[in-house]
Amino acid sequence: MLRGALLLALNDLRQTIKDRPTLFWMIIMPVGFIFLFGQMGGGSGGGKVSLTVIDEDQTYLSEAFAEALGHEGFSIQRVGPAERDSLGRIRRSVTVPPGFQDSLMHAQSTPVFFYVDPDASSEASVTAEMHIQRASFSTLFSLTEANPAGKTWASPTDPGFQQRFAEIAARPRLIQVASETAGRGRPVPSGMRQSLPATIALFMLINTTIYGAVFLATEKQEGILARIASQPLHRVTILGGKILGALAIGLAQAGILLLAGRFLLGAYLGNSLPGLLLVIVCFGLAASSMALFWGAILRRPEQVTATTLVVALFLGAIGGCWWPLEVVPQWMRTMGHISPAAWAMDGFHAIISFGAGIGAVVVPCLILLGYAAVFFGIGARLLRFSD
Amino acid sequence: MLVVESLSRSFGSLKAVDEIGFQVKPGEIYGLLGPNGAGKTTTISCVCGLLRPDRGTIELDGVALESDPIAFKRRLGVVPQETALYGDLSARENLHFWGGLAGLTGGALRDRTTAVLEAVGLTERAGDAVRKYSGGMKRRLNLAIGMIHEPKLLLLDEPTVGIDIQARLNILDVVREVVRAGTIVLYTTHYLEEAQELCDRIGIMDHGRILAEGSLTELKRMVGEGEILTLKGRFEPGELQSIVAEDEHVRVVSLEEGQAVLDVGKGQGEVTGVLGRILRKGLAVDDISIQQPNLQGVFLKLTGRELRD
Ligand SMILES: Nc1ncnc2c1ncn2[C@@H]1O[C@H](COP(=O)(O)OP(=O)(O)O)[C@@H](O)[C@H]1O
Ligand SMILES: [Mg+2]
Repeated sequence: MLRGALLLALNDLRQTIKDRPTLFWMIIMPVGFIFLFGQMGGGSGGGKVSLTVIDEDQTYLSEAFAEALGHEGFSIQRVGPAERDSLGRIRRSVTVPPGFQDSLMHAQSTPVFFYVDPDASSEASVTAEMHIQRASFSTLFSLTEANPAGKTWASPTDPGFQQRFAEIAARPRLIQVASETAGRGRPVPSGMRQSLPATIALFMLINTTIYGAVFLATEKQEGILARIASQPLHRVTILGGKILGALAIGLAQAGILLLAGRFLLGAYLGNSLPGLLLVIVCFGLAASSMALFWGAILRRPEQVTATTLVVALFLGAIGGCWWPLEVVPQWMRTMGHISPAAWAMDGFHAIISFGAGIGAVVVPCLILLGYAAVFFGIGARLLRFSD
Repeated sequence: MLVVESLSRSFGSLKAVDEIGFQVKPGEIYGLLGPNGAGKTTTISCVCGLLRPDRGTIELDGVALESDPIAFKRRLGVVPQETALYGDLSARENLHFWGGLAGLTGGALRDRTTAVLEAVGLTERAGDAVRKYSGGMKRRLNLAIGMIHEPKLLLLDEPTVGIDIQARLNILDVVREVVRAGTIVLYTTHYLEEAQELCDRIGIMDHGRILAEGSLTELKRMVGEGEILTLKGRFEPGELQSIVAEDEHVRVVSLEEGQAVLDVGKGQGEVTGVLGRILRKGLAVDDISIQQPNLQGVFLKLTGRELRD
């Protein structure tokens, strides 16, 4: 029984690979999508926001300031004025001008210059500005605390001062701002953190339903399904084989995009690969069952292609594959969860954007399995093996 | 032995198959001969388990299709009327796929693939995509798939429709070969000559019913040795009816305006005698044809219609 189902599934997978447009639909187009849509929100989004510190002062305090920036969670690249030009295009930079340390030691105001490339994620830049402020404060506090009141300030080159300064800087903050995201106001996934899962969900949905349903309709039309039905196979084996074939196409699609996203485009995939894969399998099952459903109720293959494509694009749109559901009004977000893609995106975002573990995807996965069960039930009931 | 009893299947109000029954022994080819729409494919679909009959039983060597469909289908090979093949795969890949589904594996699958490719003469083109095949080649592959697992019962639904004579002869040869090995063959066709040449027994089918059944000689005897006289012209049914009414040699097979089919009893010269009497009465006849008592004649006598391609 399992063997029959596997033969059917492998055959569908083989047909898919032999189909020329597959290369375009399953590789070129979606990888292009991830890249292009990923650029809109500021690129790889791989963890830390990058910041180049152009240190034109090259003193103890300018270095301490750069270090404080590092504590703020930036990925810091500190360069001297000479190296500035060799860097090419810089996304965000803070320039510490010459005389920075001197001014501070004489209690004079000193500017630092924050530069943002117009193409960089503006959201990340606003946050960056706030962190630069915090780094400035912490540097100043450490400086004043390291110099006892009423005395002339020690020279920053004095080893005693440097030790005191370093100890103070390393001390935990007296006031910690604990922040957590409350229900609705969660951050909006952007860059490839949005475009990678969105493209996986959208193209899994498109390709699984189109290929799965078109195979069914074509084979019904050409009498192949009837011939399969005259083989010594149970009906459930045939249905299972067809579902498995569509699932294999979906998993192949997801696999291609995960690998291309991770290794070609450097996308960040979160900390729970098992969680991610679980969402993919459950979503794949939901999409395969929808393929069975469409293959059962539609007759001509052209009709199937048109219908499944439009429906997949629509479900992708309301499910958050074109833009994150975090930016739409609450009612649209609620309505959007009619689409299985919305549940898949919830699962993907939980892991890729919000750093959750496998536990966070249990509910979306159960709901996706529910979709799979419903569509399989209807499709299995309605599918006729011959016209 | 294949035993089909009181098989019926309707589509809405249309009785596509109406209370038919027949038996086929191992090593025998049973032909269902009938025009398009006679119910041949519906019968085949019921026997291969694709269509559920409204009534009746189908048994192969004592195993009822209904009670154990998987066991039944394991011993069944089907050559459907449509050439149901994967166009993007080669003949060899198609055979591997279908043979695999039928339960063959490993070396047996490879050996049988080679054997059937050879039998239908496709060895040289076995690696080409089926999409590029001619109609005849597709039909031959269609047959090869049906027999790859050496089924006990082989169903062939009009396997030679629309192909060149070469491919047709090859297919008939292969079927004869298969039967020689003791296979039960159920063969449908609307070609008279094919039924005449190939089949051991023939069921003549029309409008869902088997009108007569037997070997060619039996069928001929059944309908008498007489000849069939077909008249066409500008006459009323009543006119002809009154002319032939008292004629003991004539049986009216069908009669409508402008066309009559008469079964003229045996004996030399009967036809010319009957024809002379009709023409002497001044019936406006434009076209006369006389049909010898062959299968065509049998069909005509049973149905009042000719069986044509
Ligand atoms: N699926 C179907 N739905 C409705 N009518 C059908 C169906 N299949 C066959 N028929 C009708 O049943 C009759 C017998 O058809 P079929 O068995 O295909 O005849 P044959 O194979 O002898 O040409 C025809 O009148 C045909 O139109
Ligand atoms: Mg037919």
